Amino acid sequence: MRKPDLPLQYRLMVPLAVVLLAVMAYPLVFSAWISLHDYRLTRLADVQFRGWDNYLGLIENQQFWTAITNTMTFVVGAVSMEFVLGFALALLLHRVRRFQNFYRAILLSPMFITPIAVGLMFRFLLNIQLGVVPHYLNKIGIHVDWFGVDLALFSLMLIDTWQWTPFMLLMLLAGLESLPKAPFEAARVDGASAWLIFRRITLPMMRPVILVALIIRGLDAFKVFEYVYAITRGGPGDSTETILFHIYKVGFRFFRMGEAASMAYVLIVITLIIVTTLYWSMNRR
Amino acid sequence: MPIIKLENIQKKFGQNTVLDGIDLVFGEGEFTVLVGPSGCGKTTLLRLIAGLEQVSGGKILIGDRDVTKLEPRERDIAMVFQNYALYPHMSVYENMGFGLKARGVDTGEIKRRVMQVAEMLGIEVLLNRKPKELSGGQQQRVAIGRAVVRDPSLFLFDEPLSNLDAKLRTEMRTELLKLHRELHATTVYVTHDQEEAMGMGDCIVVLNDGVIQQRGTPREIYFHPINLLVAGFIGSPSMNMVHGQISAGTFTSLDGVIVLETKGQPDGDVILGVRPEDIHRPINLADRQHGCALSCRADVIELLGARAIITLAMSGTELKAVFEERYLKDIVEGSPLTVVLDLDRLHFFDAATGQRLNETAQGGELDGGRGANG
Repeated sequence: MRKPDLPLQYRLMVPLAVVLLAVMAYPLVFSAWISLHDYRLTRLADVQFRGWDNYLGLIENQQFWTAITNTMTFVVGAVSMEFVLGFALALLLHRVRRFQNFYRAILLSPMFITPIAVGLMFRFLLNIQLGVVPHYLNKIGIHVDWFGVDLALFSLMLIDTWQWTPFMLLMLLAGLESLPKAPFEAARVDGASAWLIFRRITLPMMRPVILVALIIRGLDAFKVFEYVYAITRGGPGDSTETILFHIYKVGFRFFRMGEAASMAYVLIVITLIIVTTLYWSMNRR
Repeated sequence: MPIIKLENIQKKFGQNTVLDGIDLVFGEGEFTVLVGPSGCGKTTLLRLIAGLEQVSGGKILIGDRDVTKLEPRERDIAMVFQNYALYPHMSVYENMGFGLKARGVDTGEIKRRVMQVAEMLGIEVLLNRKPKELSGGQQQRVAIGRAVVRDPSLFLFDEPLSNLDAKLRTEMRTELLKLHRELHATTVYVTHDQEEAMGMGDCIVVLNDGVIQQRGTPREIYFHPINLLVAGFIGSPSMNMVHGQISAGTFTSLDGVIVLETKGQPDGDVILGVRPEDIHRPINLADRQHGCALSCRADVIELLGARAIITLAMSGTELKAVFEERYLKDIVEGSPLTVVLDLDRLHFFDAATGQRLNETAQGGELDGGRGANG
């Protein structure tokens, strides 16, 4: 009988390697290839090599930069609100002893709804004609168009905050609970007020957890798509057009796959820069 | 430094009473050691004094101030924790200065005091390091420095040496005592190590099951233990306990092996307590009139260096004796041996209640005999 060429451990890895190559490596390489071509789904017979033209074109592309700005605003706004609210709730829950699990279950529940459903839910809740929120606000004399030009992006941030603050809460609460108790007791005996303990002991000791939570939520917020798709479709105008929705639009509505792929690669670079900076800042101390 | 008073302190966790009716006074400049077996409530008592736990009943007074309901920061107390509890993200300098900063002391004064204490503890070169860059002993010094720099009314130490190795522990013990002599600060020190308690305290409080068993000087506690628990806990090896009866002024052990005269003890079931160092070779008790000779067998000899623990077997009774190494030469494991109990230093306890019976302990005054055992 012929001895097999590959040792057993490598043969066992083959199925996974094949799957990974098929679903990750091939699309990555293929998308890199089409980002260098004028690859349009409507003109597949006539695919031209464009070199860096797709990338250089982005510099002048106003819609692309608007989408990047919108996304950045969304990420910074939403993640900041989630962090502040999540930390406040985590500090509160950390102290609560009675019905602790009940409160946690209630507060975590928004996280378990699929984002597209959350998008649709808020689309109805906040709709200026049908929505229950504007209806009651009208009754007390407050007239707000949640999805008007001025507020639409902010409303999307609020929706994201509603859904993902629980994640921040979960991470930060786990962080708080894993901190050693002794330095806090030492600080109390040392004469520190609650605020000083928070500022000088809790925050610095929570630093690694905070950074990880911010990185995870930040990266996730970059991918915002469902709320935009379910509620505003990028409008009014391009006020809520985020980068992923813009890429989707260029690629799957206008079929300009090459240009969409180049945008996706620019997005990857931006994300890598942000993550590397955050990790560097985390390891600095 | 003011006097610290605890009045009828009670502490319950749920239905579980951890401390019950604790009345204590810590005198000015006194070094008090709280000692007792694990779970006896000594650390809880320390945390109550610090304000890290709230009392279920009773009062804590520092001088004339009732601090029972006050937050730890309002009590003017410094505490050294078992695991040091340094702030991991701050330098040694910042760790030491944090308490002063929290109290609004100006930067110049903080620097002066931190430098002064760092010099006193020999840690000036560590001031810029983070706690994770320090050894256990160095971390402990920083923790002590952080307490000292504040110049508080009371120092609390919660088993501060228990995480150090044996050699370092002995060194730090001496340093702490030197520091105490220098500062003359009122100190409450918790330990489960009875040797540490004996060696360090001006005053020892033995706790068990949340109740004070005895309070006294190390000498009182050692030579005049008030009950079986204190007698058994203080001293290493532990005091030998022999069940027996006193009848017409004569003690007879249950197995009839030990028979000795007692001085005016009432009749009844008793437990005889003999410290291992109060069992001698006959030649070493020549100057004493009151000895009781026993024939036994040297079962096991454990040489500890300068001294040895000998397990003596007599029919059903087993005693531990401590002899100096130089008196071991003619003793062979398994061979017969005659020893003498020092009748002046025997302890009698009521077999039913465990309370001490011979109220006039002799040992305290006869301390000159210690160390000449063999």
